[in-house]
Parts: sequence; structure tokens; C-alpha cells
Amino acid sequence: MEQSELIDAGGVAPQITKQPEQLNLLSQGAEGRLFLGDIFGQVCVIKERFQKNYRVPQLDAKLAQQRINQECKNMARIRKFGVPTPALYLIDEVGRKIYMEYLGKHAYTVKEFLYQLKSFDHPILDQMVDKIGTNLAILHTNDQIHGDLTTSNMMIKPKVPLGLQLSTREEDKRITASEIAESGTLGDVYLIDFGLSFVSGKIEDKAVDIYVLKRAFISTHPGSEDLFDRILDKYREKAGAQGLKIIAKYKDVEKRGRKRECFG
Amino acid sequence: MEVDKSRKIISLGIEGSANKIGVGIVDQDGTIYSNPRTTFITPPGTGFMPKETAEHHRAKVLTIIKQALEEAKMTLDDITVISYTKGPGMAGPLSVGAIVARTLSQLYNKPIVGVNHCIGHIEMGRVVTKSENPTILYVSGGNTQVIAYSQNRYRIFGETLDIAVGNCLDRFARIINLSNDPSPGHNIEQMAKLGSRYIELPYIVKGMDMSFSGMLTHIEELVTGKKTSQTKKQQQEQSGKMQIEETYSKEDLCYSLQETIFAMLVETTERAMAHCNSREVLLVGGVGCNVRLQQMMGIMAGERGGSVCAMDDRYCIDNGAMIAYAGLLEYKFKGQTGMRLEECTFTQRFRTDEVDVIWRND
Ligand SMILES: Nc1ncnc2c1ncn2[C@@H]1O[C@H](COP(=O)(O)OP(=O)(O)OP(=O)(O)O)[C@@H](O)[C@H]1O
Ligand SMILES: [Mg+2]
Repeated sequence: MEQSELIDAGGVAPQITKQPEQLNLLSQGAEGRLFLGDIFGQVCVIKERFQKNYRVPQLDAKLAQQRINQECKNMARIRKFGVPTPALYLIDEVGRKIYMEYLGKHAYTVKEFLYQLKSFDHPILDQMVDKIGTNLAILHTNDQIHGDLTTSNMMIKPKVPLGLQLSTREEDKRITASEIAESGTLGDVYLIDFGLSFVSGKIEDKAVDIYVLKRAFISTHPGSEDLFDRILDKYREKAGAQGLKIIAKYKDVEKRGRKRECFG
Repeated sequence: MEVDKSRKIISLGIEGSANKIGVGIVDQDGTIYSNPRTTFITPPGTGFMPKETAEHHRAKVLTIIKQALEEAKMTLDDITVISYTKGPGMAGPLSVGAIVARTLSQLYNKPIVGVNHCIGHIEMGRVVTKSENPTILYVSGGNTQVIAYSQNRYRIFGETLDIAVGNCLDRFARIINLSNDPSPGHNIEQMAKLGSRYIELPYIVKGMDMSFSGMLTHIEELVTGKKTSQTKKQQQEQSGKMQIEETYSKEDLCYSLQETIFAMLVETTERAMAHCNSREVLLVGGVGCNVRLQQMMGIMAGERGGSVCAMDDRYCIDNGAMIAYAGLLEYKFKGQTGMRLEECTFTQRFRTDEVDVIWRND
């Protein structure tokens, strides 16, 4: 049989999506390039962990593999506990890609939302504090460490008016942060980006998770100390007996950070 | 505050927070008139201790001030303001710079400014590279920080959760008994060029933070483990059981350590860039001189459509000029006044994000 006579037998894998250059780039994160694509005719987010040429191939392959596995496993695991995360559609280990639910064009990262809102004490933030604090408590109660908690890795999926929701027209504008705030309903707060996540029951790991968030919060949103403290209060309230231990340890970790010898 | 353009502000800066004592003279454009320094070098297998380092600085500081003035063809009368490193650093060595600066300020009736060492690296780096708003990776013997500017502070986005990168390299050099001349980091870099086999080492990144102490313990075990395994090998040979033992050459260890540690640094820097929507990277601190680190950072930034600011001794390695320049900025934007004498102390701990950056308004 000649080579040219061969035709594709119709497996789905080669056809599920377009090539990256045909896709819309959503964001270029630290490790992932995120595209808006489609899978079986359904819109989705494709997160590709492209090769990092700065590190030795052996290390690169190990990290990419490890993080794709962690991300998929834990994203699904967390969903079970009732914390909103995008649904996982497909894993393409060879192509280093995962396909997941798109949260829609109205979704905001918490970072973007706070930047637009330009306030740390708007009443709508009560709902945000509540949801973030509760999400984190659920995570830790189930020994789930996120590993990269920042305001870029939390997304608000707002409730939008039906007209705006149904519209598929590109030019229809995206809901603004102040419109969300004025509506009085925040919507769901999703956790995303589980590449550095892992399962651990250690108090220290949970405390560092909180510490990482605190640092990201304060440096990204100068002046948001009170807002962060409110999240921590909610966390304490929801995390039960272990919550107190975690917070005590977190204060320790923070003190270590401040005390760290620091000479040039 | 507008500055009288007709008169240049000339700042003399004294740096002595670690094992280098240096004196630099600069003006407000960042022009360096002179910048001599010397390093306190200790024998292989040892690190520099505060007391001996302070003695070294005390013995050299006056000669270096004279040398700086001579090279700049200036006298102390030409100096507008005296700057010194207030911290962070080792107390003994810091005290030398602070005392000399205070004495000169009193004797010659000059305003005086105490400077945060890290801010010195950053501001000198910005003026030399003309980079407006870079993400900064500050890596030295005592520091590992990923920094970005916002609202009059250099904010720390990521840092080490335990020991600093430079400290990790220095201690590693001691474990494998490398020379401290000119610096452990330099010798590791040279040796790494001869390594080729990548040995897997612990890779610990938590968001924009990282941890290095586990790496040292692991390597220590590999190295000492090798010793016991050689005796084990003899025992095995005697007992007739042959088994091939893994051995790790110094070259491969240096290579693998660098590749692993630097990959962690580049990853966290990239994460901060993605988080802050920034495209430029400025590498500062002694470890920033490492060519392999620069190269890795360059590849990362290039792939993001950005770049790394060209590395330069003037801001990477501890020196007097960078302290002079940061002190000058503070002086100029405080309405040309220095600090009150009682404020002119020194402190071992002085975080980068404590400084009010009055000279930037972006
Ligand atoms: N399911 C989604 N729907 C809509 N937008 C998303 C979704 N997932 C991610 N995003 C957007 O893309 C950005 C980057 O995604 P993500 O955090 O997963 O990647 P990353 O930061 O590159 O990952 P990593 O830190 O593992 O390298 C997010 O901050 C968010 O703005
Ligand atoms: Mg992310």
C-alpha cells in the first residue's frame, strides 16, 4: 500500500482543536499560555505548558509533567469539596495541554476586580471576603494546598443580566467591576491554577499557603491589609480547630520572614 | 523640590555591609567619578565572620576614601552630601561605614544620608540601564527577593522562605571545599562549565517564594553518602558482592546545583512578571554576575517579548557608588537636606519595602 493512500481513521485526538497559532491568546502566565479554543464545538480554555528553553530539558520535562498531573488531579479533587473550579475536559499529556471550562468574558480575576473597583471597603467585598475565606478553609480542611495563592489565581464569575448573557456579539461590552458591585451580587469565586498544588496534612504547609497569599495580596494591592485580615477572620471561623493552629503557625512563618538576616 | 541646575550635587558613598568595603563618588546623572573597593577574602572552607570583617574594613576605609577622592580629582570640599549604608547587613562591618560617615559629616559640615543597601543596587541599576520600571531579582549573599515598584515602595513579591541563594552557594562551596578567591560563586560558575550530567535535586517553589535549605542538606548527603558508600564498596568487594556505586563529580554537582537553583529563580521572576504585567528584568546583587543566570533570564524574558537589562559591575556587586547615588536621590528629593545625626544609625535588618521612595512618582 502506498503512503498516499492512507487516510486518517477518524480518531478524535488529531482533530479536537486548531493549532495554537489559530487560537486566541487569553493570557501568558508564568508557565502556561492560555488560549480560547474549542473542544467538540464547545468553547474552552486550553492551557499549554510550553517548553521552557531556559532550563535543562530533563528538569523541564519533569516539572511540566508533574504540574500537569497535579493541576488535573487537584482541580477535580477540589471540585468535589464544593469549591468552584473550572471543569476539566481533557488532558493531552504529549502536547502538554489541558482543556477546561471557560469562565466567560465577564469573569474577572480578583486582582483585576480590585484594581477596577479602587476600593477595599465597598460592601460587595463582604461577599468576596466570605467566599475566599470559606474556599480556603474548605481546601485546608481537606488537606489540599493550593501552592500559588494570589489574586490572579482567583476568579469572580459574576451574575450578568440575561440580555448581556445571551448576547454572542463580540462588540457587546463586558460587565464592569462597578456594575457588578452596584448589582449587589458578586457571583461565584473560582479558584484556578493548580500547577503547584499538592495534598498535605502538615500545619506548616497550610501556614505557608496563607503566607504566600498574604504577601501577594499586600504587594499587589497596597493598603489592603484590613481586607486580608477579614479574609483571615473568615478562614479562622470556617477552618475549625485546626484553623487556630494554622494561623498561629502562619504568624510564625511571617515573623521568620521579617527577622530573616538580610545583608548584601 | 527643584534643584539648582547650575550646581552639580556630588555624593560620596561608603559601602561596608558585608565582605567588601568600597567608596564611590557620583553626581545626579549617575556619572561615576571613582569607585574603588577591596574584598575581605577568607581561606577555603571558611566564611567571613563579623569581627574579622569589621577589622578589615576599619584598616582599609581611610585609604579607600583617599583613593576615591584622588581618582575623582576632588577634595572633600567638592562633596555635597555624604552617604553610607545604614543596613541591612552585618552589624560590625556596617558600623565602620556609619562611624566614618558621621565623622566626616561633622568635621566637614556636610549633610549625611543613611541608605538601604538594596535600594542602592536597584537605583544604580535603573540609572545605568535606563530601565524605567523593571521587575527586579535581587540575589546576593544575604538576599533573595523578587521586587516590583508600586505606589512609592519597592514591594517584595517573592523571596526565600529560608536561606538566601548566595548563602546556599557559599555553603555548598564549603561542602565541596572550593576556594573563596575571588568568590565561591565565581568558582562554582567556572566549575559548572565542565559539568555535563544533570543530577536531580530538590526543586521547591511556592508561588513566588522559594526554599533552598533542603537543597544543601540533600547535597551534603550525596557528598558524605559518597564517602560511606566507598567504604561500603570495599566491604562489598571483600564480601564478593560487586555493585556499581554512583559517584558525583564536583563539576556535575556545580552544574546541577546552578541549573536547579537558577531555574527556581527564573520561574519565580517570570511569575512576578506575569502577575505585574512587566516585560523587563533587572538582575542585581552579587549572584547576578553569574553569566549562566543572566543567560537563562535572557531566554525567559525573550520568550515573553521582553529583555534583561545588561549586567554591569556598577550596580551588581556591592560598591560605594550605588550607595552614593541612592543617598543623592534621597537628599535631592528631601529638599536638599540630610538626616538628623541621631537618625544616622545602622541596622542589621532593614527591609526593602520599608523605604519611602520619594523620588519616584509613577
Ligand atoms: N477557566 C478560565 N476561564 C477564563 N479565564 C481563565 C481561566 N483560567 C485562567 N484564566 C485566565 O488566565 C490567567 C492565567 O491562568 P493560570 O493562572 O491558570 O496560568 P499561569 O498563571 O500561567 O499558571 P502557572 O502559575 O501554573 O504557571 C488567569 O489569571 C486568568 O486571568
Ligand atoms: Mg496564575
